[in-house]
Amino acid sequence: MTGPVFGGAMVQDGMGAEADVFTDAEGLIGSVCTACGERFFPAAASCANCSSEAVERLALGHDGRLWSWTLQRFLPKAPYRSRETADDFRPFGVGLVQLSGGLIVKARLARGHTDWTIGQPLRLRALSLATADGDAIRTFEFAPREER
Amino acid sequence: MDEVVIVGIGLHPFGRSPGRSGLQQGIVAVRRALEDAGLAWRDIDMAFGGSRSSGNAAAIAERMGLTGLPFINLYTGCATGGSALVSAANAIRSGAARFALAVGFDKHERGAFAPDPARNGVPPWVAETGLMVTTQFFGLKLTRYMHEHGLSRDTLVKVAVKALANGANNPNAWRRRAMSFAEVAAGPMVSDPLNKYMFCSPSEGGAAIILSTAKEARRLGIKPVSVNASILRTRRYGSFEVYSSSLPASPAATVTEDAAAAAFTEAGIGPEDIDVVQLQDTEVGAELMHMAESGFCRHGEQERLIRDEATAIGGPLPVNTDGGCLANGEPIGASGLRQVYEVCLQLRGQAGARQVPGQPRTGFTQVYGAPGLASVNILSV
Repeated sequence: MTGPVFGGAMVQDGMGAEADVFTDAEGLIGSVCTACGERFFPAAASCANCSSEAVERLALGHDGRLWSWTLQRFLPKAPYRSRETADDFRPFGVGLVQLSGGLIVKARLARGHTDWTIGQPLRLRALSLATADGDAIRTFEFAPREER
Repeated sequence: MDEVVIVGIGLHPFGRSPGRSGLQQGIVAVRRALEDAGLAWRDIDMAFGGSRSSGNAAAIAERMGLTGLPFINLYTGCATGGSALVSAANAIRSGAARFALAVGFDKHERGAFAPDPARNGVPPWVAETGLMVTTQFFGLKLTRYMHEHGLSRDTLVKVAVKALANGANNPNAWRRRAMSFAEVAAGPMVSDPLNKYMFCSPSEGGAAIILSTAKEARRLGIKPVSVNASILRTRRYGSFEVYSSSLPASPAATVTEDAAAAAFTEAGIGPEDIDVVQLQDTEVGAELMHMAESGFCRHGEQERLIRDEATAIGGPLPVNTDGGCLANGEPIGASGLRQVYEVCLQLRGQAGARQVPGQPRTGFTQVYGAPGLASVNILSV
């Protein structure tokens, strides 16, 4: 899990520059406002709290705890790019995960679980989503910490 | 400054209307509102309106008559009708218009909405990896809320049962069949903890409201409904909203809390003074959370209120007397104005089988729209 992720769907930071969303070594990549200290994920070009443009890249790590969750029970419509169809779609969890620094981020949760518990420890890992055109999107998900 | 009042209301029934465009449904609502007020189209000095899926509201002038009036198209998600009404109220308040129209209509395809990330300031990968589905937000917000405030799943079921019971008494509603607790509880899960019968669905319909001053209403010989407050607010930093990818450790007050507080201040009354309430009920949890966010109860108190049927017609706090979004579906452009239409019927004593007893004098409406705005109106007779 290195280098830019999301082949074919690079993350734009709002200023036209490409930015990583996560790296193997650093976990999720967000930003911090050097004026007021607020943190954001994904990285933002300016601060939604104080409007400052003095923002810096910030590694947010791999670890967090579940703050809230739901299950995505039906196939999302486009622009969801997975090659799944309504017939072979398997539900996946969607979580709000509180990272060790306090920030809460929205993320996919590992498949194969239908019962999650608020507060349970989670760890970030890579997820490859096969697309209809034979490509793959490299993205991320959180799994129970004991499951590596 | 003269008081802003509602002099005319019109609605095209909600649901499915095969062969009739969204725009046509909006035009039906406008004609009914004009008839209700005893006005002609040429009397309208200024208009505000919108739709998500059915084109520019200003195209109404092509069918109603090209009078040259200023007609402003607007779109603010599920709060579109609220934004139109706030704008029309300001046009009356400023003296820019003697009669101002707020109109909304829509006609949506079946199934959940597929919002465009680029139009909402969201990075494309969020949607491409399956994280921009609005139903997820409602499940996430509600799971956390139930955890913090101790709401049970039974309470969720009861809100849907109440909505469908009210819808069964509303000839303009889409879903007119009451359902039992067991039937609702057995619905297929969509986005936990919410099942199919706990969500509203995109639908069709139109609604129109004509505003003027108390002085003009007297001249027309109309007993109007007063607009005591008409407020629009957007989210502040840190509030948890529909397309948020992250939020700070201590989420801030929601936009509905801000809009409701501002509206009560402007109207000079409090939640305890309101006789009939319409809240955004995209799903049952939204209704429950908006009850507290609007100030009608404390967080967590909903469990007892719903058990005691306090929010039913005939209870001390009737909520969504026309069946809300759950029974009417949601034509996005029209939804907020439907709430105002319903409160006007209730305050005029014209709500028929679903009339709130005891001659209600005050009403409250609240809509919530993506990506995080709310509109609140306080009305009275």
